[in-house]
Amino acid sequence: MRVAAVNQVAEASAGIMPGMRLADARARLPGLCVVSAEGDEDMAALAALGDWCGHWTPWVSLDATGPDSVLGVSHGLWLDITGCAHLFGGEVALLNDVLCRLTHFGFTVRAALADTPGAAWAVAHYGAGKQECEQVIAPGHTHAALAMLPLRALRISPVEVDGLERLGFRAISDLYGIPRGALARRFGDGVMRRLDQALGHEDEPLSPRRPVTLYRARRGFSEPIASREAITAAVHLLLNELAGMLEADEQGARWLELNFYRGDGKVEHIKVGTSAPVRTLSHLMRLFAEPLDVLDASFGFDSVELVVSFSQPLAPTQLSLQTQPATTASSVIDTEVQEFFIPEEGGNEVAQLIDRLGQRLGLANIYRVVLFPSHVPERAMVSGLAVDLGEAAKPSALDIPGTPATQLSHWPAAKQRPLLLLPRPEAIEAVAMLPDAPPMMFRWRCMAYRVTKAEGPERIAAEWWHEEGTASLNGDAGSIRDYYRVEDDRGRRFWLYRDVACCSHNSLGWWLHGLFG
Amino acid sequence: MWRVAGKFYVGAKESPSLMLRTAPSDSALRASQQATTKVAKVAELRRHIDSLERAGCGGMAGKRVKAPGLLSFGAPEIDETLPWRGLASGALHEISGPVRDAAAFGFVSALLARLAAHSPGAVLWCRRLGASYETGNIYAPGLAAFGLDPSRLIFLDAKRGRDVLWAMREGLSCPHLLAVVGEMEESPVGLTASRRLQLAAEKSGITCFLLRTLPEEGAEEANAALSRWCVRAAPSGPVPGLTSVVAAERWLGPGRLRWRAELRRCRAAAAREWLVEWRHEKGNFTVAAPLCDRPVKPAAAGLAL
Repeated sequence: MRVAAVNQVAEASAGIMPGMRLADARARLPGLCVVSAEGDEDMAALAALGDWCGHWTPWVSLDATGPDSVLGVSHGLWLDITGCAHLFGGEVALLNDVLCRLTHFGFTVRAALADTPGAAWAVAHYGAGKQECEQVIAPGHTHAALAMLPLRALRISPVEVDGLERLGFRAISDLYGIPRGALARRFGDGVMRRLDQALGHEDEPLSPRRPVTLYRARRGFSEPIASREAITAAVHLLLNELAGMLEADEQGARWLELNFYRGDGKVEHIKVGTSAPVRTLSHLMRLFAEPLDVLDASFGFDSVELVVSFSQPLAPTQLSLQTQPATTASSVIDTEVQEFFIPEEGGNEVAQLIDRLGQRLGLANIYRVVLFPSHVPERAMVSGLAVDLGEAAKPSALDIPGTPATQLSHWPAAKQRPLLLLPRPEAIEAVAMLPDAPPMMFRWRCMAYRVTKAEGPERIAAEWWHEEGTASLNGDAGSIRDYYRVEDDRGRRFWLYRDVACCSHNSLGWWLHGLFG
Repeated sequence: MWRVAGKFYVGAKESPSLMLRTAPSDSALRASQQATTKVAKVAELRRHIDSLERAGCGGMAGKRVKAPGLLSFGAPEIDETLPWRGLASGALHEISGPVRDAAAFGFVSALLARLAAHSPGAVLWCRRLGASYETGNIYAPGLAAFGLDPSRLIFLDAKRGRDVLWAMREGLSCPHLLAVVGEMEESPVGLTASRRLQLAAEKSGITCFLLRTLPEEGAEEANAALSRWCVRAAPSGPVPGLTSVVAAERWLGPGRLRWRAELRRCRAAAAREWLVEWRHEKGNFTVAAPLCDRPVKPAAAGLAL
């Protein structure tokens, strides 16, 4: 067992370091208080903190590099503050704000601000500055700032650090004038690449934790807001701002996310997906209305951010004057003018309905079906989410390769097929006079049915040439079914089949698969 | 709207004077004329009452009411019995059937196919999430066999019965839908919820079908549906295309779909029962045997309230 992290007291008084054996640490300080490390929960907490840092910049990523992550746990956050610092009164003020707020949450924080991620990482981990202004490396001073830092600050592996130290290198400045070829031969290009990245000779891209936002609107408040009315009004303002941006670019939102930055360092997310590109204020307001009801606003929100993570082109629509408003106002904000001018074509009202239903019941529960050219009953129907298929489910939307759309539309309709198909065939006890004859009577779900009319058999074999086709008939390429349409004495019609050949299991019995209307 | 109402007024005022003025010499001609005027007058009055009733409903709702549409069965025997010469579209209709009997589903699919043949729009079909384990999934090739394009249906799985009702009401508020179907199984609907659905359907003009499991005798609950049907399977009819008697006798398979459709309650119509047959070639219903076209038990017959 090894030490994953220590607090300042233990480090200062007994010299316990991360990576040390627990027995050694206990020997140095017998009264050591040990708590088992929970890497996953640490990561979750760090990720939550990263989300909260969206307060300063949308470009936040978790630090997963460096020798610091002994047990595979990273303890850092990158914040790309390009173009954000002036909003908080300059770089020093921003760093001060970050340190102040995070310390307030109870974290021990070290932060640095530099031209490159590598330099910021080095200074944050090994910089000696006590004041915030010393941790901000001015543009062009990276070279000098890194000079006296140890080699470990380059995010290279301990093995490489050892090797370099054995050669007499102590600080990063020792590496500045060395011929590259000599080092690369001994250590590979890892060391030089890290140095180049730190000095800005090589680019180091950071991937943002949250998807890149196409459109973003944000409001900060001097006092935290908590009342439903205030939140609704803020959301309305943001949506209004965003609708303007979208309209200017002729875009409509497909995925929206509302982030509420809470006073206690948590972030509440509300995600809304739409089935068609949309920028109608009243519709978006209605989509957000329900999740806003269950929002936990106990601590109040410092700022609210609205983000469109996915958008699609949406041409401007011709508005017409109509005396009858299309929808009734459900939002508290007066949207009279918007409702007076309604689009001439109400084509995407079905899409809006799907959005409203999906918001409450889950978009995954709303689907459309199309016919698929297959004789295997389970494969003759393909369902797809109504959101993806949009206005009308066309087979082409499901991307069925190799089959023209016209051929698909009515393909299996010529056959007699049941109206209701059981999710999986149910075993029945059936009595048949002859091996190939339809049953005289059968028992299904504890009820006996006397067959008066029967038609069949219709033989359906597994599609052995197709992977999914074999999988659908109980995963058995050799299985063959004989289907019968039977009618009982009261006129109920059923679709039964008999297993003719089946390799995987021996029960060559009768099964009930569907009910006719 | 006012023009239509005006026409009714003229008709209603003029019809009596027409009757008085007719004085032909031939008694037979007179009798036939009288008969035709009578029929025309009754039809005219009936339409007038319809319009008044409709206007009354809309007035109560306080909202605009679309012109009453109709969904005919294509079988004159049934259509004539119903007050709107068919099922009123833009209204709630309850169709119940026994468990493990897909007859009610077939009946609704056939009605939807007739509706979809003439008008555009999608159909919203709301189910409970676990319903497919009990009744089975709605199977697209089966729908296509009824002449209904499966791609026009939007299916919705809701967790609870009241979510189904909510989704139905939401669907009825979207004027671009053609029809809304809701499966409620045994769950209670209640007078208030069904009244809301009826008002929403009236307002938007969308036809709404409520599929129920047939309750036990005496356990029926009050419901604001405009018509309430009970549909059961019936032994199938002859096979289309088998003209010779010998061939028809030798045929042992099921024939045309037949249902025993019982109109249990309907505003302004008597309770009746028919043996209906679905003709998928033409996409219409026919009444199979006139023998079965008889009123149900006298106690249950009568005008519904």
